[in-house]
Amino acid sequence: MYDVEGLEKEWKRYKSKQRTPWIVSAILIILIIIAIVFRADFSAILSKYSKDDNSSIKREKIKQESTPLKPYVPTMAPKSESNHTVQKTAPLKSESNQTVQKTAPLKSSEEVNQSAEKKKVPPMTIEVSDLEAEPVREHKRKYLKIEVTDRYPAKKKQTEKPKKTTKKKKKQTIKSVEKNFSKSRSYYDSLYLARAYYKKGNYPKAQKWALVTNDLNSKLEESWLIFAKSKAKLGERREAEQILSAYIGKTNSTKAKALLRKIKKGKF
Amino acid sequence: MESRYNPAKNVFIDSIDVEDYINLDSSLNAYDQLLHSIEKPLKMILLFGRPGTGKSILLNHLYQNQKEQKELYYFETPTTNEKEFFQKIFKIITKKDLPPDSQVNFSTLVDYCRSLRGEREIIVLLDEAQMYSQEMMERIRLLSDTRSMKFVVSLHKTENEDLIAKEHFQSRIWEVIELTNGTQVDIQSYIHKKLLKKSLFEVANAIKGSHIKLIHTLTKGNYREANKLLFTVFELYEYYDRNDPSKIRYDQLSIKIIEMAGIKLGYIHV
Repeated sequence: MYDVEGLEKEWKRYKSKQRTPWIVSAILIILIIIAIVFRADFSAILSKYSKDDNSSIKREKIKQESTPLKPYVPTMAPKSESNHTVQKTAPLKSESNQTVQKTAPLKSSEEVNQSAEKKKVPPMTIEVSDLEAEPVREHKRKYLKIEVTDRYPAKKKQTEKPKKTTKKKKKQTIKSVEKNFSKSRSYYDSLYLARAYYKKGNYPKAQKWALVTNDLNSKLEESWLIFAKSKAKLGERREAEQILSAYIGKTNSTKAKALLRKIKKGKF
Repeated sequence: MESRYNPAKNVFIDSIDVEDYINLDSSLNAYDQLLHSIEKPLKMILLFGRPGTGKSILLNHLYQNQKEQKELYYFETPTTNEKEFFQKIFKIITKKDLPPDSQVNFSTLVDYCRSLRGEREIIVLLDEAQMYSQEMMERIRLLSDTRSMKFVVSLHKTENEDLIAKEHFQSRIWEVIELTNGTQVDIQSYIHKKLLKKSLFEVANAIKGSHIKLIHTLTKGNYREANKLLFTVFELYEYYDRNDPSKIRYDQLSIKIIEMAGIKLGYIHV
């Protein structure tokens, strides 16, 4: 008779050998899927790191070469000779001159500390960021590089600001439309206000302006829908349903039907 | 007490016994072809195929079925000794034993065979013909040229032997019947028919399609190898049935045990 136990052991070895390529390929597939799914994140992280690396290299360069400020000023002069750029670069020139004047005494004294050098960097960046605004000064690559890296946090500030301004603007426009409505009594204005307040999530006001619009023009479907949506958002689902079914009875509107279905299903 | 797997194991003992002959579509086809060939005025017929494709059992089946109707002789074991071989031939032709201390004169034998032309048609089935020397094959050819003797030569087909067979028989063979390994369907019906022939219905039902697929892959459709594999499988079952019955199921054959048998027989290399 055979050594069955030994044969069983061999079979287990064979099975584990047979399974390994499947396990390895499964792991590889999972890794590939993860890489595909999070590709965007990876690239963002990579780009961020690469930017950080560049910035560190560039900062080191700046520390080592503090003199490039000197040749910078004379190069400005010939450019100002061109007819178009003269007017534009004129104020910039004065600014750059100012910074040069500020930094010049620091360089002339040999007792400059490293900390002092570090302090010098921020004014440089300000200066360069101004320069970057000018497409004419392409030859100043070193400064352009510095500007790109130091600008990174500044960019965020720039992007945040418009949001605030747009919000402010919206508020202002809503107010101005409200003022205008008191004079004009136009349902265009009231509908705009209903829409705007609904978007903002101010449902009581959206409801109020939808009603006003409906008083002025009861045929406007949007006023009905905004009114029903606001009601639903405020938790008054039954009323919203009643309003919509009444409107459907009159007009047989498909949009209203779809909305009613959503509210009934609780998907809204 | 005998294990329930013991009779199943014995079903797959390799033999060329006619009782164990299984009628498959492919073997029936080969049998019909062979029967048709011996009816024709052909001198030599070559039955060709890899070992374990059922050549011997087919020859034996033909012999058992046709020995009453035809003058048929079956040389199961090859005789490598020329003297002994022609003594056998002498006995077939004359139906008398050769007197002791006497030798067959080949040319006299050929002349005698020629004289029998039209009177008798002797058919000799030579199994394992690759064992005969080239000289003996040449003499067999000369005997077949007398038209009173026909030879059905069964030959193994390996890569080298294939060449030898082709070279040797090319000008002498009139008909070649080639037997091949079985398909998955052939193997399935072969195994099931074998088990059902011995009324082992439960065991036959326990062998499903996936098991057949694995058996066919491991044995490459060779009937002898399939016999060997299943013999080992049921031997392992017998062991588990006696020593560790919790490890086996009676209603379904275990893939694990088939693979274990495959490892044991060297079909699977760990």
